[in-house]
Amino acid sequence: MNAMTSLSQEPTILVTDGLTKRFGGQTAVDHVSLEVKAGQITGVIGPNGAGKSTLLGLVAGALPPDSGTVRFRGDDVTRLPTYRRSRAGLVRTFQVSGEFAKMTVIENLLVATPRQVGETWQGYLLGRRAWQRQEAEAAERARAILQRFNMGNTERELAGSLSGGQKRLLEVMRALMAEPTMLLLDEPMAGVHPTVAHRVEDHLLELRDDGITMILVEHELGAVGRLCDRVIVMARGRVLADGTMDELQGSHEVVDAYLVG
Amino acid sequence: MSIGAQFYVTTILVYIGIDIIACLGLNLQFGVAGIINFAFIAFQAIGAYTAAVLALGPPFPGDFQHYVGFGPLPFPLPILIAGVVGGIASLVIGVICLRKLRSDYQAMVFLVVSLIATTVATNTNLVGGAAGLSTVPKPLYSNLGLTLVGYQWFYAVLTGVFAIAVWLAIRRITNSPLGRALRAVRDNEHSAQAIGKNVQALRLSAFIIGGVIAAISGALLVLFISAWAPPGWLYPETFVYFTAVIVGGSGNNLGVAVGAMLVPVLFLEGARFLPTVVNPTFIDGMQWVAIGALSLAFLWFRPIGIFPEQARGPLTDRRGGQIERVRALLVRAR
Repeated sequence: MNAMTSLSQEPTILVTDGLTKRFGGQTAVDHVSLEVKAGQITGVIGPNGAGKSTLLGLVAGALPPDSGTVRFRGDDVTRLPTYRRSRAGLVRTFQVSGEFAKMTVIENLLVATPRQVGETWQGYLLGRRAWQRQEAEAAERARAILQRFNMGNTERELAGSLSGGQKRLLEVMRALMAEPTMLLLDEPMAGVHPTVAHRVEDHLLELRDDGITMILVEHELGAVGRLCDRVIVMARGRVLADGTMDELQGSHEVVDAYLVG
Repeated sequence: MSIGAQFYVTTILVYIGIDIIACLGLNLQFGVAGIINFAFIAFQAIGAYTAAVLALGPPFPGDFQHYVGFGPLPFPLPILIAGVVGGIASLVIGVICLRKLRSDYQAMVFLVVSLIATTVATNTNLVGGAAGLSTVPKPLYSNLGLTLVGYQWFYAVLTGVFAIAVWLAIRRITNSPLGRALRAVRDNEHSAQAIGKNVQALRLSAFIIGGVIAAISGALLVLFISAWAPPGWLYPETFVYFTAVIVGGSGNNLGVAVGAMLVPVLFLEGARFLPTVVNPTFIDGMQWVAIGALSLAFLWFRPIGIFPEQARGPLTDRRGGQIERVRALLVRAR
């Protein structure tokens, strides 16, 4: 359904040019050049080992590329570490839940608040008065996000005690606290009960309507069809096809690659 | 109280204070920031040697001990400078060890650092070699004009003042967004990076502050016992502090203070009262076995320690965001 909303005149927010990553003799990502439009959900699909997560890692800054560049909002971020890309608005989530297990759910969100004075040594020396107002505002935002995701009742739980589905939601909520311009989502619905998966889908659509751009790596093609304005198909580290889900479904090449690998 | 009993009590009090200071430093590194610093004792030794050398002044011609000396400097400069030197050493070692290594490998490297430090101190004349340093003057001893036992009480109070200052300084970190960021780094460094945390800078900060505190604890100890030598800070000593932190409750300052009283002081001190069996070194040997067993027992049956880490909400909430313990107790950490 969202294929209809694909607007090619949207400004480009992310550009990769010739992005390549090798692990030993294996080329995991092979000269991938793509453009992501602002305000869209761009899906990345492909068989296991196609290089989807590696591509996400390269864009997020978790892996250094062997060659190629990543530009985000016009700036070359290829050499920036992950935390600086995140501060610039490029925030990722992980395939395996990476919650802060021994911290409460609300702390997991609060810690993601950007530009916290209380996290600096200046804030330490100045004391509580320097950061308590920012903390109160962050708490308000965090609680609003928890309400939005129907997780308000888990505020005081330790994140490590949440169910698998709740952890996936927490991951998305925490990323939102970091005030992203663009989210890189690595299989946010993997291993999640279908009802929770549908909730995640709804939330992602809402976030897109709020203006957040997303790259979504996902295996479940139904979800990809429902969510993504545009889909990139990868196989053996290369971009095989790029278009709307409707366009791709007619491509034998894509079907072969996906089914046969 | 007899003079002998007063000596014993004050000595125990000083040790409790020093061990609490050391354990709070280790807790910031290990319990809060997740750094497995198996070289912790070496930083305590750096502080001790620095304070000793600065209090002693340069060796005189024909001196029985050989070391590189400066000073002598008046109290409290040897302690404060020891802290600074501990911080600088932590910066240098932290930059080398904390970057690009996973935490389990960091632990191995720290163990090696501890071994190297002992080897260097033992086999050079930088700080007295294998014999170490002795006759370190007690701070303010001649100025105060106290009796020997009066001075003991003075030193116990002095250690208490330092312990309170360190406690307050550490609590200001752990009860702030900075402490929260450190705990996030401990729980999952990749996620912390993904939400914009400079993991290396945060870890290094905690490591340096822990190093400063370790050095201060060493300085206080050497100025009290007047001597310091390599056999007193071999790498297993680090595990006594680790056991104290684990038993008390890693990540909980109060728990760690209790752990410091229970393990290095009561546990080791208590062994003195056991009857001598087999041979005199048997009890000493068994202490190490007992420390290891205690540590294992807690890791196995109660990894959260006696006082588990406090679950928190927003720091602006009542009681600094601390949530009642019951809930935290129900959930065993992963």
